[in-house]
This record gives sequence, C-alpha cells and structure tokens, in this order.
Amino acid sequence: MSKDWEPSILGICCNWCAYAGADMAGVSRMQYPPNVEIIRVMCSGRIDPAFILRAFRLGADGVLVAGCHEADCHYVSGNQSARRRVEALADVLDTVGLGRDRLRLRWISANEGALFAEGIRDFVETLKKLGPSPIEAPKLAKGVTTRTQGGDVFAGGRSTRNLSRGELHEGGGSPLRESELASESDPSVNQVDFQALVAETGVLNCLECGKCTASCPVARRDETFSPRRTIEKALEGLAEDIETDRLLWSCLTCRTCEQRCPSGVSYSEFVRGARAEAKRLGQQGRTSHSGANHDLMRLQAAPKLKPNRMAAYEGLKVKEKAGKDDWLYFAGCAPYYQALYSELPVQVGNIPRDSVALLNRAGIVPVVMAAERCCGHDLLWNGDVEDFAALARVSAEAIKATGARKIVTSCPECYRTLAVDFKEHAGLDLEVKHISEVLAADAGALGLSGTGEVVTVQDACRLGRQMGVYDPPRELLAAAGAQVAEMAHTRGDALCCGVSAWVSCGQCSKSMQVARLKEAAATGASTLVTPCLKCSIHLTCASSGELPVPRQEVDVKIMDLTAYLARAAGLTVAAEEPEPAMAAASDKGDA
Amino acid sequence: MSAVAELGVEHDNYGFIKTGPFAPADTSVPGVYALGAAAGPRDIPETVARATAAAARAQALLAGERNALTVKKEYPEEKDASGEPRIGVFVCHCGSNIAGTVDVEKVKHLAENLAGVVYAETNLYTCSAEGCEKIREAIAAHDLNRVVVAACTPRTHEPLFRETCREAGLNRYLFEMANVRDQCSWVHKDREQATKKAADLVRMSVAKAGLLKPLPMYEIPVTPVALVIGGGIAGLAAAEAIAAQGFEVHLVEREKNLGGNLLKLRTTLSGENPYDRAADAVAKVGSNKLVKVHTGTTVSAVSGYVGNFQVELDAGSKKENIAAGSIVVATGGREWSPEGFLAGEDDRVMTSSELERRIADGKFEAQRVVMVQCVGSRCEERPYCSRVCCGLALKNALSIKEQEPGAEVIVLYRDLMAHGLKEDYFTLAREAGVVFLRYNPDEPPTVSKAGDALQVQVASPEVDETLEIAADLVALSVAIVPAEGSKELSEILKVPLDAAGFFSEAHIKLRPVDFASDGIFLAGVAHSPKEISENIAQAQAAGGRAASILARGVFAAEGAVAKVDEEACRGCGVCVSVCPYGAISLAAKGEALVASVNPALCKSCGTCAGACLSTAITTEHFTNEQIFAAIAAKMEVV
Ligand SMILES: Cc1cc2nc3c(=O)[nH]c(=O)nc-3n(C[C@H](O)[C@H](O)[C@H](O)COP(=O)(O)OP(=O)(O)OC[C@H]3O[C@@H](n4cnc5c(N)ncnc54)[C@H](O)[C@@H]3O)c2cc1C
Ligand code: SF4
Ligand code: SF4
Ligand code: SF4
Ligand code: SF4
Ligand code: SF4
Ligand code: SF4
Repeated sequence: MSKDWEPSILGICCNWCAYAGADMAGVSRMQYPPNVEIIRVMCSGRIDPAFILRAFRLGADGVLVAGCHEADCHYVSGNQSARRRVEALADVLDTVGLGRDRLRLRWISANEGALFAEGIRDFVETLKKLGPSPIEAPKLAKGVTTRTQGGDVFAGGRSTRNLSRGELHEGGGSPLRESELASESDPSVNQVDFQALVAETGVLNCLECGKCTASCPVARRDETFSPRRTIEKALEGLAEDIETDRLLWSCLTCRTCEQRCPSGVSYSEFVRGARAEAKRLGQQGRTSHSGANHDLMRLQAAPKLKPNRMAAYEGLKVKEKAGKDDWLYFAGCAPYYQALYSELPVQVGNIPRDSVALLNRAGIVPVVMAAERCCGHDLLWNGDVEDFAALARVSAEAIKATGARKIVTSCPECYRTLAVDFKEHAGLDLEVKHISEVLAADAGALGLSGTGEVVTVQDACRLGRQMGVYDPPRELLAAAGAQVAEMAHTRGDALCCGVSAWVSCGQCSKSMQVARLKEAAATGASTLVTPCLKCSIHLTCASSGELPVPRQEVDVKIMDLTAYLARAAGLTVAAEEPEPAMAAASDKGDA
Repeated sequence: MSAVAELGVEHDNYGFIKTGPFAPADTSVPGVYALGAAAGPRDIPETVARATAAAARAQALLAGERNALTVKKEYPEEKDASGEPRIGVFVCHCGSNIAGTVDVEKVKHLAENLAGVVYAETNLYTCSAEGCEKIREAIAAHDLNRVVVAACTPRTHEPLFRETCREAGLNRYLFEMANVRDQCSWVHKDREQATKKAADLVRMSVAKAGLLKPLPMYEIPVTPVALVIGGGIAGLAAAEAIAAQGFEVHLVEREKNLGGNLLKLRTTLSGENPYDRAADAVAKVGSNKLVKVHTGTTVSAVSGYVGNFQVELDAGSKKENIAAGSIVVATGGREWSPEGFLAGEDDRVMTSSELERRIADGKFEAQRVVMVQCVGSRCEERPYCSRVCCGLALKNALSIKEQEPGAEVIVLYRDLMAHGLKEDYFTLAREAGVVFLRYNPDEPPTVSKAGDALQVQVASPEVDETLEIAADLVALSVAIVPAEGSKELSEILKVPLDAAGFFSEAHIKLRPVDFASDGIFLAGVAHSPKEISENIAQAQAAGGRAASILARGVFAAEGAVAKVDEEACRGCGVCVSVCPYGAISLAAKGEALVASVNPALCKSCGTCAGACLSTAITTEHFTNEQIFAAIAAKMEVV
C-alpha cells in the first residue's frame, strides 16, 4: 500500500434524505475527508446492485448507499427494496472475497448532517484499515478514451488492462445506438478476424436450406430473428451489419439449429465469435440484470482477491491438495446466485454442499478450492473474451496449484468451459466430467432410496447438446426409484430454459420458459429435475412471477439434480426453503 | 400577543386564540383565521393540518378572484439536441463560498478539456440575474445543447437553472449540476484536495450530461369536480370546504342518512350539542347546489389518476359513473364491540357512549358508577390510543356529578389522555370528587356477579391489594376501529392502510391529509381516532387540498418517468408489486404480458428499475447508462 493512498468511495444517495443530509453537513460547515463523491438518485429504491458492482469492478474501495430512515421514505417503501438488495449483495461480497465491510447502508435524514459527516469519517477509517481494494481499476483501451488529457490533478490513474467503450456502457439496457460505434476502430483488421471466424465455424458450408431458422425457438417467437439470414450476411462479408445487429444478442447459443443443420454449421460458436468482434468494435451488447452478473465475474479476475468458500463444506470430507487420482470439485456460481436472487424462490445455494456429500457417499474425497472463482462462461459467451481470459488464467493457476488431474463440476457451464475453453484461453488441459457422470458410474454406492415419484428432466444445452451427456441424470433418477417421464421435446430436441450467459432475457425467454414448464407439467411429473443451476434459476424466475397462462398449467416443482439425489440418499433433512439472505445480513449491513 | 390584540380576536384564559370545535380555524373575527400553536398546544401533524385548513378557509373568500392577475409565460421553441453533445460548463464562485476553497479557474480549465465540452466559464454568482443571462447567451453563442452548472445543490437551484435553459430554448432535462459547494467547498479545507474533488464532481456531471435526453412535460387536463367518500362530520366539512371554493362535489354516504357518528353523541366537553351541529351541517350541505349527495351508495370501482378519476358508484339497485379530479376519503370509524366484562350479558354493563345517551336522555340511575378505560385499545391487537374515550369518560363523570352530586364515580384508567386544554376538565372532575384509580395493563379489571350485584375487581399499582368494588353500573370506554369495508376501499383506491386498518397518510408529520398517491386525500377518523375539532380541521384541510388540484385546470406531470422496453419485459409483475404508486400495470400483448406505465401516476422514484431483473424498465433522467457513465467518471476511467 503506497503511503499516500487514499480510499475512493462512491456514495449513492437518495434526493430527499441522504443527499439532503450531505447538503446539511455543508450548510453546517461540518468537515469530513474528501474521499467520497455522491451520485444522486431520486430514491434509494432506484439502486440496482449493478451500480455497486460496477463501482467495485472499476476499483472503488468502498460504496456507501444511503437513503431515508425506515418509515420516512419519500416514496413510501423504496428504501425497503434498497435494503433487501444491498443486504443480499453484502453476502455476495463476502463470498467473492471482497468483504461486506466495503459496502455500507445508512439511513440519514435531511437534517442529519452530523450523521453524514461522521459516517464518512468512520467509513474512511474502516477502509484505511482494510487497505486498497484488491480490484484494480482497468484503463480505457487506446483509441476509445472519451477524455482528453486532464492535467495534473488527474495524474496517476491506476491501470492494469484495457477496457472497451462498449463494455463501459454494458448493462445500459437501451437499444444499441449507431452513434456509439467507435469510428476509431479499423474495419480492415476486423474484416480479417471475421473471415477467419466464418471459416472456422463452417459458415462457408451453409446450403441456405433454412432448417436452422425453422428449428430455432427464438425465430419461432421473434420473426425478425433468423440464423439463416445472419449467415447470408456473413457470407457476403457484411461483418459490420452483423456486429451492429441487435439480433446478434438474441441467439441463445442453445445449438438446437445445429442438430438440424445438414452441413454442420456451428452457429452458436459463430455467434460467440461475432459477439467478441462486436465488443471489440465498441458495442455494448445486451445484458439482463443490468450487467450485474458480468461485473461480478469481471471483478473476480483480480488476482489479489481472496474468496472463501469453505463454509459450504463444513463437516464434509474434502482435501486441499490432490493425490494422483483425486478429483477436484468445482462448484461454480451457486453460492452467490443464491444471495443475489434472494427475491426469487431459487434454491441453488446448497448445490456445492449436496454435491460434495454425494461424492463422499460415493467414496470420493474431492479437492476443493477455498479461493475458487467463477468459470467465466457468461463473459465468454457475451463476447467479452479478454475478461474471460484474465479470469481463466487466474483460475487455471489455482487449479494447477492443487495438483489435481481431473475435475468434476456440478454445473454444465463450468463443465463445458473448463473442458473446452480453458484449454484455448488458459492452457489448462485436464479431464473434466459432470457430477452426473461421476456419480452414475457407481450409483449403487449412493444408497438412494426409492422416491417412487414421477419426475421429468431438463436437458441443459451445455450438458446435452454441447457435451453430449443425456443418460447419466436419467440413470441416477432411476436409481433413486423415480420414474422419469419425458417431455414433448427431449434430449437433443429439448427446449432451452430461455436465457444463456445472462444475455437478452425478455419476452421471448419468458414465452419459452412457460412453454417448457407446460411441457413438464403435461408429463404428470411432480418435479422438474435440472442438472443445471442456471436452468433452475431461469425457470424458477418464470414460474414465480405473473403468468400469461393459468398457474395450474405450469405447476411443477423445480429442483436441482444434486438436491434431488441428496434428499433421496438421506443426506438432507428436507428441501430447505431458500434462506432469506436479508435476515442473515441485517445486523451487519445496516446502520 | 399585541398582533392578536390589534386584530381584535378573542383569546382564552391561557392566551391562545379562541376557536370552536365545529369551526376550528375561525376566530371571533370573520376573515381572520388561526392556526398552529397560536390556537392551542399541538404537535406537527395537527399544526400542518390546521394550517392547511386555515388556508382553505381564507382561499374560499378569494375564490372569485382566482387567476385574475396571472400572466402566461411564453417560451421559445425547443432546439434539436439530438446531435453530438455540445456541453457548456459554468463554474460558480458563489462569492468566496466556493472560490475561497476551490480553485475555480483550474476546475474550469479541466472542464474545458473534457469530451463533449465546448465551452466553460466561471461566474461570481451563477444564480444571479446576470449569471443566468450569461448561461442564456452562451447557449446561443456556442450552440450548446447541454448545460452543467458546478455550484451549490440541485435540491435548491436546479429548478432555476432548468428554467434558464428552457428560456434559451433548451429542454429542461438537458441540464445537470455538480455540487461543489454544499458537498465540497463547505466541507473540505485543503485547497488542493477540494479542487481535485470539485474536478471529479464536474467530470461525473459532464459524463452524465452527455447522455441526457430531452423529455416532455405532460399536461393533463383536470375534471373540476371532487368526490368525498363518507358523510360524517369530516366528509360534510370537506364537501363544504370544496364547494366554498366554487367546485362541484359528489358526497357519497353508505347509510341512508348523512351525519355519521356525531348523530349518536349528545354533548361535547365544552358543552355543545353534537347532534344538532351535525344536523346543521347536513342541512347546510343539503341546500348547497354544488354538493350532490348520494346516500345509500358506495364506491365500487375507481380508475384513472389525479385530475381524471373515473368512479363507479353503487347504489344497490343501480350503478352510476362519475368523473372526479380529486378524492377525499372520510369513512370514519365505529365503536368496537367489547368482549368480556359481562358486556352483552348484563344490561348494567354498557359502553361509555351508551351511558352518555342515557344521561342526556334522563335515563341515568345509579349510585356508584365504575368506568373502565382503554377497553380494546392499547393492546396487542390495537396498539393505538383511541383518543376520544378519556374525554368521553370525563364528560360523563362531570354530567353525572352535575345531575346527581351524590353518585360515586370511579374511573379505572391506565393513563389519562387529557391532552391540551382538556386537562382543565380533568381538574374539574377531581374537584367534583370523581375517583381516578390507575390499573396495571398486565392485569386489567374484571367484572363479575356476586348474587345479583355487579362486582369489579381491580389491581392498582397505587394500592397493594386487589380491590373489589360493588357497582350499579359499569361503563366501558371501548376502542374505536376503522369503518367496515375500509380494506376493500383501500384496494379500490390503491392507497395504504396502517396495521390497525386506518388509512395512512403520505408523511406522518408533514403531509397529514395527503395520501402518497396524488389527488387523493384523507380526513377524520378514517385516518385515526380523534376529536371533533381535529376531524373538522383535517377535513377543511383535505377539502382545501382537493380544491387546489381542481383550481389548477391542468396538471403538469413530471417528464422523467419510468419507461418499459417491451421486448425485454418478461411480464413478471415485480415492478407492479414494488411500485409505491400503483403506476404500472400488466397488459396482455399477444400471448405475453407486458408492463406499462401510466406517466400521470409515476413519481420517478425508480424502484421499479432497481427491481426489474431483466433490465426492461428504467426511469428517464436516471437511466443505467447515465449512472454507469457517472460511476466510470468517478473512477477516472473516462
Ligand atoms: C363511540 C364514539 C364516541 C365518540 N365520542 C367523541 C366525543 O365525545 N368527542 C369527540 O370529539 N369525538 C368523539 N368521537 C369521535 C367522533 O366520531 C368524531 O369526532 C366524528 O364523528 C368523526 O367524524 P368522521 O366524519 O370522521 O367519521 P364518522 O362520523 O364515522 O362518519 C363516517 C361516515 O362515512 C360513512 N362510510 C363509512 N364507510 C363508507 C364507505 N365505504 N362508503 C360510503 N360511506 C361510508 C359512514 O356511514 C359514516 O356516515 C367518538 C366516536 C365514537 C365512535
Ligand atoms: S443456437 Fe439456438 S437460439 Fe441460436 S440460432 Fe440456433 S437454435 Fe436459435
Ligand atoms: S429468467 Fe433468468 S435472466 Fe431472465 S430475469 Fe429471470 S433470472 Fe434473470
Ligand atoms: S448558484 Fe449556488 S453556488 Fe452559485 S452563487 Fe448561486 S447559490 Fe451560490
Ligand atoms: S383515549 Fe384514554 S381510554 Fe381511550 S384508548 Fe386512549 S388512553 Fe385509553
Ligand atoms: S419487472 Fe421488468 S420484466 Fe418484470 S414486468 Fe416489470 S418491466 Fe417487465
Ligand atoms: S418510477 Fe416509481 S412511481 Fe414510477 S413506475 Fe417506477 S416504481 Fe412506480
């Protein structure tokens, strides 16, 4: 820590109370350290977790969220929404290793200038004890800076890597604007990369038969969307047209079309590459959740960050260093999604625990990493190759350090990413398997007792169409005495859960989810078992909200495969209700 | 005091201006109205309510002159701001308030070099007439399409500068402020640090300014008619206040007759006859041509928003639709039916209001009366104080002592709510020999029968043993609870109730007669149990507030409202459930549900945008993009 380091704090304050309280500190000439700059919002209810994560990801040492006292909200109840979100986010910050102490929630009224001033003094003290944020600020990529040299007071910007303008505005949620395209980029360079992409992904072999469009679940719902037409443009070399096309972000990369394509065009990989080009061109793309999830991933690329995930494995058998034949268990994002989506009835927080308990039952003592990070799948598929690679490199180092030679994942996205993309971007070449494959190899050892239920299975795109794993989840469910009823679309034809990589969720996604839940309910199954936590989140999101169809048509319980098996193996008492993250945080995150 | 003397208004023994319970804002001199603590000790909400009532009374006299002297301001046409941002930055010295600590020249120089900034200057006082003129000149001379003022706080000065921009042909929303005084020069001493922070703040504001969009101001015509729900004394007073300002009123009463609870009361502490006064008020409203009375009628549906409510009235046999610009809720309350104490089993046990009627009707006969206070109030189920029952007991006790000086009166109480000037009656009652005995809330008194005699048991902290009191009559001061059907009405109007089921106001201290939703007001016991004078004051205030909306003619709605990106909307309804103003609804669009915002109801809080997971709804002027730009600017990556 350099001697003259000063913490940088972002304040986000509501207009009526906290911002007014800060003004009051001024009117009363109360002195406090100059480390904070405030962004004014009308109500603390406006505050999206994405704002806070963006600040941290750009290197803020602390974020202060402040609004009106509990019963005093100018907008009745906006501050209660703020409270729930900030408290849930505090848990996430603990999980990723940044620590909840860097995020403060304060209720300050318009006349509490002293409280504001004291709050800043105290926060600065705390942050000085904590030291600089382990996340360093990125720097704008050359050619996209929007600021000319500012002179001496701005000297000494911290820099580690480059940042594109598109990335900077990501999560804006508004439609792409032509004017935002960086004229600075050199189209000829872009063209070369693009032609290589076209060749690599087999687009040149396209017969223009239109089978892709006919089979695509998005095209069925959005007539402006057509993979075939995009391919046509690619063949004409219209790189810019594709990369500035709003529809580039509508593809789910679900690979349904690829099952039908007679010439083996890998459309999903083409889209992945085209998105990367588009990002390089300065496109912001589309993201749901205001880009919060992507920023959460990006900030995990900071090598100095020290996550701690061991709490999930308390009382279970795990190792830190691998012997020759030991599996490394890679848990993925489950712990922080549970906290981040505390307002949805998602139940994914226990996946790591259930997975390791099942592995133990199978006689496997896995290596786990306290400092495990996100695999970065969603960055990669959102076109953000550079951030993905940075994250993958950090993870690859950590994985190598354990000495493990093979990895088992409970998440199909981690599976694909570690098996395929880590090889390309981080030079990690290990055997990777999904937990269903590992457990199915010796299902008898799990001591599963007959549930006797009728269930149905979601074939997650990454697990099924991408990695070819269809049978192991079914075998395990059969071993648990469940009768697996198949949905109208199953295995290679399975309907995707409607969102991938947190890109472009919306009307079309909801329609697919409702269709999928209807198929599930129509089988007569009580439970829809999913081997993918993302499918579980997206489908739960759909079924918990308002519906365009009568609720009984989609009435089916959604459960993660590991949770289902752990229950059948007697490893959990009962499916626990999602833990309300706010209750856990209420005494810490609050004033 | 001397001012009071000069006006010639009467005052009471304590020097407070005299007002009556049925005309709580009126003094003894017509045209002079009293408010606040000048007319008695009171708390903030009551003060605000009475101030509003006094204003309404004064306005009624002036209603004929409304808008006689107003001139409509003309603005130049708005210029097209869709091109590249051309931002002008104006850095204020504020005399030495800012320049004394911040190097404003340096800030200006730095601002000049920011992307999108084409012009910057410093001003001694930006908000002076001269300073504003310089902004207008610069907008013209440099073809500015965005303006940033680095000065004091937008909370006080944004309206002025927005107006300045508009006068120069810029849309009001193309303006942004950097708070370099209240949040910088006034709170930091070190010149270099303060200058750096000021520059940071300017950079953040410029970053946001570059992404600002011109927004329309919505003008909504107002239906100049009010609806008052509930025809008790509060509803009557509200209707009268609105009609006095020259507006038509629909007064809707569920029962066959107007008058409400007052028709059941016989006296007030100050010796007036509430029944007669209520009957007077009913007659007055009945003869007022502007008031249309609908008895035996309820409100069955309400849609629309401030200025334009569509209301369905249900009179049992027929339904009728009316339009209203504003609404007053005055549905009052009712006596809680007591449980225990042999209530309903022995006819010598009755409520205090029943006792009051017996006394007034000359049917009172007893040698020893025991009164039990707080029956059903201030308990777990109903934690509030019903406010009128202590006064009712005092009134009854004094009447008994007057009619039968020999009769014994024992009041069993927890605390005596003889607030304000009621304390005098408490003193009078004690002087007349009324016994006041405190009981312990954990061990409330019980009533039993010994043979045929009524027996009251009470444990008092003032005496050691449990007392057994033989009584001829037991009067229960029971709680007041909300009117039946309040919950349904709250759902129809989309306004909140408190935990006890009374309607809740927008702000407990500062907005005592407003609901959070624009155009709907509340008065009387519907809001909380209270006395006649407070109810009437609140009703006059609510009537005045309701009339002020009608007087506007058109209603200017905020332009920075929430906006839905239909393609990204999942129709999940989360935004609908978090919006505090019921401004969002889900509508079927093909096979999907899609959120849509009513701009007239939206207050731009942004709670919907903070809650929407799929980034489908945002609030204009505080979009993700704009906020992200400011964050990036703060972190020096832009
Ligand atoms: C038992 C009792 C004793 C009291 N004693 C005193 C006292 O001694 N001194 C004192 O100052 N105050 C006393 N009060 C308070 C007294 O009620 C008020 O001062 C006054 O009567 C309240 O007037 P209001 O118009 O708010 O309510 P109310 O008088 O209750 O009138 C409300 C009216 O609204 C109607 N209504 C209800 N719901 C609807 C609906 N959905 N649609 C249409 N119409 C509806 C009702 O029928 C009623 O006519 C007492 C109250 C009670 C209940
Ligand atoms: S990958 Fe899926 S969403 Fe994308 S074009 Fe193919 S079928 Fe459609
Ligand atoms: S479906 Fe998934 S991506 Fe879409 S809003 Fe719900 S959780 Fe977010
Ligand atoms: S604009 Fe604000 S800062 Fe400038 S002179 Fe006026 S009050 Fe002072
Ligand atoms: S007014 Fe008196 S009797 Fe009534 S609830 Fe309050 S304290 Fe009890
Ligand atoms: S919360 Fe968002 S996705 Fe859900 S209905 Fe509202 S706008 Fe649509
Ligand atoms: S901004 Fe606030 S008032 Fe407007 S629709 Fe959203 S939640 Fe409702």
